[in-house]
Amino acid sequence: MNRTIKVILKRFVYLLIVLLGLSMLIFTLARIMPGDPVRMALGARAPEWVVQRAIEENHLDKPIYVQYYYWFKGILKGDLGFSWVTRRPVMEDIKIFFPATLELVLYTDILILFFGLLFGAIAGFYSNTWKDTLLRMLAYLGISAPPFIFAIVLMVVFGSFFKILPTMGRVSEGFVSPPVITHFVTIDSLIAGEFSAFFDAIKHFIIPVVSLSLKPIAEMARITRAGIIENLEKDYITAAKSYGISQKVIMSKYLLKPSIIPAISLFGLVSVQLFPHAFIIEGLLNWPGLSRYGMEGILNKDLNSIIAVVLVVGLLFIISSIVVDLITSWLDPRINIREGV
Amino acid sequence: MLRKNKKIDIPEARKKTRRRENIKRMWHSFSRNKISVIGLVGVFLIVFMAIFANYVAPSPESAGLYINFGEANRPPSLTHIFGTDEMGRDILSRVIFGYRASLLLVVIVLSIVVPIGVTLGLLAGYFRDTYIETIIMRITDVFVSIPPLLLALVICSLLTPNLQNAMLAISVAWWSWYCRIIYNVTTSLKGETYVWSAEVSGASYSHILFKEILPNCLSPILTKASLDAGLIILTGASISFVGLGAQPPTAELGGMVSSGCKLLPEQWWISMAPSLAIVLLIMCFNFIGDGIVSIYEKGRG
Repeated sequence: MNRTIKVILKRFVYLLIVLLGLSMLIFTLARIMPGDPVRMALGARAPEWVVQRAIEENHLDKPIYVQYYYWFKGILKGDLGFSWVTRRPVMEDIKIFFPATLELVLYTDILILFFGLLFGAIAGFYSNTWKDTLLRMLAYLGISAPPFIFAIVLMVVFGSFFKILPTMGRVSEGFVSPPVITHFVTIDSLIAGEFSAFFDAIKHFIIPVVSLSLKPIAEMARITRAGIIENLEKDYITAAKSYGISQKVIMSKYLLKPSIIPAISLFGLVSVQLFPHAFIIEGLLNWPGLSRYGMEGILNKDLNSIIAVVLVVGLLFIISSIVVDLITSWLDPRINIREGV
Repeated sequence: MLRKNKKIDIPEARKKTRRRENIKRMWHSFSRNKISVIGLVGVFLIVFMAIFANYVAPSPESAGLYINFGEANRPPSLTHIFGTDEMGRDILSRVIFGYRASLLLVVIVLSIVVPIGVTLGLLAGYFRDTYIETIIMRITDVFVSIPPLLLALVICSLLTPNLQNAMLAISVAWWSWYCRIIYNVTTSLKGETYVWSAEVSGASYSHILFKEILPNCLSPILTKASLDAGLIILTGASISFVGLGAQPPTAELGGMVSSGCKLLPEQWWISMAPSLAIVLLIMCFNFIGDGIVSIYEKGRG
C-alpha cells in the first residue's frame, strides 16, 4: 500500500511535467502560425492604434518565451487569458461549456462500459455460435465508421424520417431551463422536479450519445471477447468446471474479472479519445459544449481558448490513465502500477 | 572449381526454401479467416480503382470544378449509380477520386510515422537510463498525453487547409505511439543473449539496433501499422469533414460528406454515398489488420 501511494505521488509529479511540456508545445504551435489573430478578432475596420494597443496589452510584440512567461504567470493565478471569439475570460467560458461536454461524455462512458462488456462477454462465452458471428460482424461495422457518420444516419432516420428525436441543441425551446445547480441539465431538472424537462433533455442526449458510443462499444466488445476466450482455456477454469461449479458462477466469479482487465485499460484510453470526436459531433448537432467551443476556437484561430481546451483534455487523459492503472492493479494484484505516464 | 561450388551453395538454397515455407505458413494463418481474404481483395480493388481512376470513373471530369446544373441533385439511378450532387457531378466518380486522396493519406502518413517512431523508440530503449532516453521519452510522453485527432485538428487549424498539411498534422500526432511500443519491446530485448554477444564482438550501434533488435520488433510494428491504417483514414475523414482538410472542388470523402450534410434530409444520397465509401474502405483495412494479427499471434487456435 505504501508503494502504491508513493507511485501515485510520483505519477502526479509526472503529470505536472507533462502538462508543462504540453502547454509549451501548443503555445509554440499557436504562436508560430501565420495570420494575424488580433486583426481577425477586431475586424478589418478597427483603427490601427486600437490594434497596436491590443497587441501591446497581450504582449504579442515580445519574443515567444516572454509571452509564455506572461501566460504561465496568469495560469498560476487561475487566469487562462482572454478569448477573442466570445470576448470573455477563457476560464469563465470553460466553466460554462465544460459541464455540457462532461455530461455527454459521462453518459457515453456508461453506455460504453455496460454494452461493451456485455456484448464482449456474450460473444466470448458463446464463441463460434451465431450470436458470436452476429456480434463480431456488428463490431466490424462499429469500429469502421467514424462517429460523425453514425450521427448523420441517426439524424436522417430518427430526426427527419420518423421525427421522434430532436437533432439540435441540449433542450427544446419551450422549456424553461431549470435552476443551475450542477450544470448537468438532466440532474438539474430532476432536482427541480420537472420531469417533462428531464425527458426532453434525455431525448436530446440520445443521438449524440449513441453515435459517440458505438465505435468504443465495438472496440471494448472485441477486446473483452478476446480476453474471455483466452481465459476459458486456462487450467483454473477447467478445474472449476470439474468441481461442478455452475456456469453462471464460473462466468461471474472466476472468468470475468481477469478477462476484463485489458478492456478496462482500453476504456481509459477510449473515454478521453471521445473528446475530439465530441468536438465534431457537437459542431454537427449544435451542442453548446466545450468541444464546440474548442472547435470554434480552432476554426477562428483563437489562441487562448485552443490552449485551454487542449490542456483540459490532456489533464483528463493523464488522470484517467492513473485511475485506470489503480483499477487494474486492484483487479489483478500481480500487476504493478506503472511509474511512468 | 570453387566458383562452381558457390553456385550450388547448399545453405543459400535452404534459405530460399525456408523463406518460401515461411511465406506459405504466413499465408495459411492469414487466410484461415475468410474475412481477411475478403478485406485483401477489397483493398486491392479499391487501390486499382484509385490508381486508374481516370479510366474507371464514369465521368472523370466530375472530380474537379465541373458544373452541370441540368443534371443536378439526381437521385441514384442506372446512369448515376450514386446519384449526382448539387452541381450535377457524378458522385460515384467523385468517390473513386476521393479514394485516391484517402489511400495517399494512409501511405504517406505511415511512411513518415513508422520510420521516425521506430528509430526513436529503438534509440530510447537501447540507451536506457541515459539522457537520450530521458529526452526522447519525455517528449513522447507529451505527445502521447493528447488524443491524436485533437492534436491533428489543432495543427491543421494553424496551417493552410489542404491535403498535404492534413498529412503533416496526422503524422505529428501519430509517431509517438510507435515510439512508445518499440521502446517497450527494445527494453525487454536488450537483455537477450544475442544482443549481448553482438555487443561483445564489437558490433556498431547501428548494427545492433537495426540488424539485431529491429527484426524482432517487426511483429508489433506490422500489427500496429495494419490496425492503424483504418484509424488514419478515419482521422483524415474527420479532419476534412470539419473543413480543415482538402478544400471543396477536390474530391475528398470527408469533405463530400460535410457538403452533402447541408442538403439533408431531402438529398440524402449526396452525403450517404461517400459515408458508405469511407466505412467500406476502413472495414476492408480492419479485415486485413485482423488477418495480420492472427499471423503473429502464436498458439491461438
